[in-house]
Amino acid sequence: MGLVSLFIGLTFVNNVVLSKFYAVCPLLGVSKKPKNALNMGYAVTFVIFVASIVTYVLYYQVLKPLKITYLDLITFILVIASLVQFVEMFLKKTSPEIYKSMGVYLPLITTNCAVLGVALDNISAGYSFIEAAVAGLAVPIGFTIVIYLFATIRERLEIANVPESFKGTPIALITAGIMACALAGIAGLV
Amino acid sequence: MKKIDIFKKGLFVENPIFVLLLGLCSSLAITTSLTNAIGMGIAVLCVLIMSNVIISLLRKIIPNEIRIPVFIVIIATLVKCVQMLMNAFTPALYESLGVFIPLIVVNCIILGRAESFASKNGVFDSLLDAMGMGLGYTFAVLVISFFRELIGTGGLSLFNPFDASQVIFQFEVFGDYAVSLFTQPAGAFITLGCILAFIQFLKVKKANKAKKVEGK
Amino acid sequence: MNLWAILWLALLVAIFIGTYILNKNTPKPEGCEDMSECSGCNNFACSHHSAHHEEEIKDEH
Repeated sequence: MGLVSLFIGLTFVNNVVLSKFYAVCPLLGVSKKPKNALNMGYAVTFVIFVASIVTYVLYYQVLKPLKITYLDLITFILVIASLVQFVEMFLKKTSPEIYKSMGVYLPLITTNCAVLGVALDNISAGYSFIEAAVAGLAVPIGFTIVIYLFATIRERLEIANVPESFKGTPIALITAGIMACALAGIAGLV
Repeated sequence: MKKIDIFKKGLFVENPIFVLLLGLCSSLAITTSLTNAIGMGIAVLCVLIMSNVIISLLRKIIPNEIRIPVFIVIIATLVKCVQMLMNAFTPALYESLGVFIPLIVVNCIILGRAESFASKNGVFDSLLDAMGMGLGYTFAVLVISFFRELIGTGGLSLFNPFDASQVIFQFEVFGDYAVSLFTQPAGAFITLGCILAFIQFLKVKKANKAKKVEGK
Repeated sequence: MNLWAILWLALLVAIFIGTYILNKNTPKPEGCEDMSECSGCNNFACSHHSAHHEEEIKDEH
């Protein structure tokens, strides 16, 4: 089935972080504790899924008919930013618990390359609506898996015997590189 | 010489990639060759200069509560213009940089400098800051792509961005021993990790020297 | 100049500024000062960045 292979492809093989370099900044910044990483993953999944659907619909229903496709970048970034503001406000008003665990990562997602990257990629790859929705689900799930694994590894690295110059970000980057190697190994699967 | 300090700060002490760790997404993705690195660096430099100058000119007019939305709109417009210009004048570069040209919009460097510097300082200072940061970014991606291309393909090459068939220089140092891992995503992480480790090594050495001097 | 382009742009900017102001005016002090994760990256645009709270800290003193 085309959709299943698309899902597996985007989640693992062309993983958004380790192969397309989209969400690297949060990977390094928000991955110290696994529980926080998981919360960030939930927030990102929700935002990217809704954003990819909304931007797709807006592109094909508004921008293309009115022949203003040159406004795609501005449209996407404004839609994504408004969506994040709206979701954050909604969480603040309705559920303080969810806001405390997930909502703090929402402002970070606005300038996250991943959201805008997925929206633009859906258009340039010419996906249908269902494919764009699947991509909007597969990409952040892949991101969540990677950031969770990364957080658990980093927890162990904190107490490991790392050389002085490599402590902190350098060893984290090299770990990411090794993870990327592992994923490249299954590139022939899809 | 305060003006010179503003400019120099962006190059080394507060280098956006190596010290502030901003804009890593694009720097890891496009550093597969020197041509890409220079093209992206110049694009970021242009957007940074224009956005800093425009925001600095408008800083008294923009209401304080809606600063960030206005900055985002200005930066998005500038990036779209740069993207269309690159599509027209440097098509080969546009193809190879791909989606990372529009992703300059969410590059933390540009919004960060606009928010922390350009909205509070005069036009000339903002221009110097933008030039320093932009050149620092270009320098950083050049270093990363230098290592990646040299070890990954065994040689270096530079093409004219405006006319992809014109070669400025191209030479091979060692063809058979190239480690092609470095042209792939894994190599990008490893290269940046090693460069940051080297910089941390220098910092640690400096801190130890300072401690020894104080101890005496 | 395409009229629809200007109208569409104005609509988007209005929506964004509207949601931004609405969001800014709704506080949630329970988990607001969660600084432990918020010195993670230097993303200045994030509203949790410590530089945005400097003014509040200065006001308290």
